[in-house]
Amino acid sequence: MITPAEVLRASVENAGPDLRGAVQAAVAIALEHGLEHEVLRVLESRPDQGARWLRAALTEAVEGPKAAAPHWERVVTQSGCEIPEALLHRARASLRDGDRHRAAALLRLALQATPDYDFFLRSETLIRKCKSAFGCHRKVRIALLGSSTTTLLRSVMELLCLRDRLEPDFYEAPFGTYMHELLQRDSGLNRFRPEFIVFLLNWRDLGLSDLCENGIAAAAVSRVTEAWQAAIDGTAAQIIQLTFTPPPQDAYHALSSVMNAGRVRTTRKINDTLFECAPTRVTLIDAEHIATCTAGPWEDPILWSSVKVYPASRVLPNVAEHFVSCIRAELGLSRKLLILDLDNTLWGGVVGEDGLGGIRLGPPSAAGERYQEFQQYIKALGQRGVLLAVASKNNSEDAAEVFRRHQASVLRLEDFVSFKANWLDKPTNIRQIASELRLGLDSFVFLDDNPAERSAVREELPEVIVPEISGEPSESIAALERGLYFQAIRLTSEDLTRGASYRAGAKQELLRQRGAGLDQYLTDLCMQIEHGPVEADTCVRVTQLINKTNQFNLTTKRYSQEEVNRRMISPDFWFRWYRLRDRFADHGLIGVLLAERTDREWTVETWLMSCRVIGRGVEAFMFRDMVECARRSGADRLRAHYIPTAKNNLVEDLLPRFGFVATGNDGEFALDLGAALLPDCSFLCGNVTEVEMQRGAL
Amino acid sequence: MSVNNRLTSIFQEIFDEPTLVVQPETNPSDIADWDSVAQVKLVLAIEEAFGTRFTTEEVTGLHCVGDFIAALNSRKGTVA
Repeated sequence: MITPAEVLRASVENAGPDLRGAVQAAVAIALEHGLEHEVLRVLESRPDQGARWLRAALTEAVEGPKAAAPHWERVVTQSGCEIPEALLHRARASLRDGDRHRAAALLRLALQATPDYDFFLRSETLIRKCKSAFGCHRKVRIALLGSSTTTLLRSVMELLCLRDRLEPDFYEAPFGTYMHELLQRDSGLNRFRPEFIVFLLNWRDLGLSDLCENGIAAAAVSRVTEAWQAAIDGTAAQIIQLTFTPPPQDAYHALSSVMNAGRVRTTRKINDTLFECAPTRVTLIDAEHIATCTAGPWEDPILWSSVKVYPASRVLPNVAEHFVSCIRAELGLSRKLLILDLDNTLWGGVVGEDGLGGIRLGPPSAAGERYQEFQQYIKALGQRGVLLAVASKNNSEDAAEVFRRHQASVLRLEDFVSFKANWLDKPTNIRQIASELRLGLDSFVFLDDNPAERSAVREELPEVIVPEISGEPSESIAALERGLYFQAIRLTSEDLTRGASYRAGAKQELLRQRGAGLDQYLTDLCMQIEHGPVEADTCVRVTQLINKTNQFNLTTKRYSQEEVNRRMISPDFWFRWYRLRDRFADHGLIGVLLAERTDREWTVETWLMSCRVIGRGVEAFMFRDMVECARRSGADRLRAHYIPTAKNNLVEDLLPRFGFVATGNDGEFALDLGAALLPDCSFLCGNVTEVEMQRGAL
Repeated sequence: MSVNNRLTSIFQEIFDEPTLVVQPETNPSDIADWDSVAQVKLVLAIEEAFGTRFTTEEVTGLHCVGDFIAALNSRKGTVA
């Protein structure tokens, strides 16, 4: 006969890192042997984390969620970290008490902690009930097409979208009809008008035998590219597809990768070819890479034979996270700035106490090597366009010394666009960083090993994502990899120079504060503007700006790559980009103007500028350019709308400033081109270059 | 606590119905939301909670709560 002490010893006391699994096993054993009440009595006097957790779980199993709620509360507050399991139980209790918003906030936190698949199963119905409280900013239309059942994937994606404030509308093609749906003009898919198509195929669709004949790979590739073409022709959607994984079983074992005709090798060739020929409307995600960072088998043969689910249910959260991160990236919702704590996050130890020589960073210390690897990873994020900042409780000089003088520090002071090492609380510092850089808190990720700091930031600034980390540097990397907060599906040259541009922005704040007059300030910047028509080489960056610019944006109209391309080649549109350089930095392509034109009248559809060049007078130049072009084409009137949003009150008076007059229709303004005054742009000192249209040559 | 009671709490979570109680004879016609998709989710959640996997044959033969109980009881002693 098993005793309560044995239940505890067998599970909670000897639990490894998988505390949740241990607790679950303990609950199962206690219930199976009818020991639940005895175990609960023993647990009353036990203060450790595992015991508290087991007590909450067992109370819930025996007495229900209401009785267990205070125990779950204690698990979370005493351990200081956010455990999806506990949050789920608290959310259930909140909803029963009628507090839908509290429930949604708890569920969002749980979903940010990248829970395992079981969590999605158990929370789905609850989350649906709280849907309206998730505060979605935008709807998104997603079609799931594939050769397998996509319903489980759909559920996981739905919850992740809600977490990210996207309200998804899904379309699933009837099983096995994807090619038909793509080709038929009037199919349900085409009528649905998806913004995204998630295209899920697997190795069975390739028709590969143990040894593949010549030509089989090429035939498989052309079947896939035909499907892409049909989707590109029939919809305006961005297509997101997982690459093929070879079947897990192969009688040729190692030979399958070695022999030219081997199935593993052939699958790789097919993937490589697909990567090479994918058009910009197709985003391929490397399935084998996801598999290497996911625990457990990639496929589930039982689930496949019974309900045709691919890949295995346990890997769906990770796969869905990749899909949703690409959707966020395409919509301009990827996070932009990573704020880092220093002591025990970027190096081991406390620099203010241990001194420059005492902290662990770099060899020979094993921990030091891991911290150095972490810095290398952060450095690479910075180099590809993620902005980096520091918020640390430290003496500023102690902290800066490490980046200036420590041999093993990969990161240098100039890698950070903002450096806050002081004794203010972290939420205050983070707010300060947001206002300095003119970035929204909803584009921030904050990494800190200290649970108290994490919870303070979560509490005060819920828009900031705060991943759970322990301070073990490899775990910090893993947290950033799992969350995919900084996903990008295209790399533009602006991404590579963004850090320099923002640092320059901070220096200008200083210049401005020194009190020089505005005109003098602008002249001192030695600005140079380049501008031209939107064409193939600029359209990707233009789409990126259209979809992520919030503040200096007159209409906040969002366009897909497809919609941008159509306007770019249509004679009915005047579509221009503006690039800015100054003595501090090349800011890259920072402005877009788009107007629809008829013979007599132009209507402004989009007028936007990147927030990092606000206050430079560039809008005056853009206006001047538009007026001159419109006059040349014979138009006599400009029309424009100001569409207010929560973030664009900066441009509230933009139109009146340049002489537009309200027409009386809601938000509409007009300008008589004959009488319009051109603003003074002498601060540019004539440093303007116009790039001619190249289309004829292309 | 019996297998039946443990299944009840899993059904309560999946359907978010705190008062739901299942009996061996409970089947999809008794619970409005118990469709083919919910069936797959129940199978996966029950496997996770009991730390076991059903075989292909068992999965296709699970038509009511009693079938789940029988399949789980056949593992008794081996279930964690």
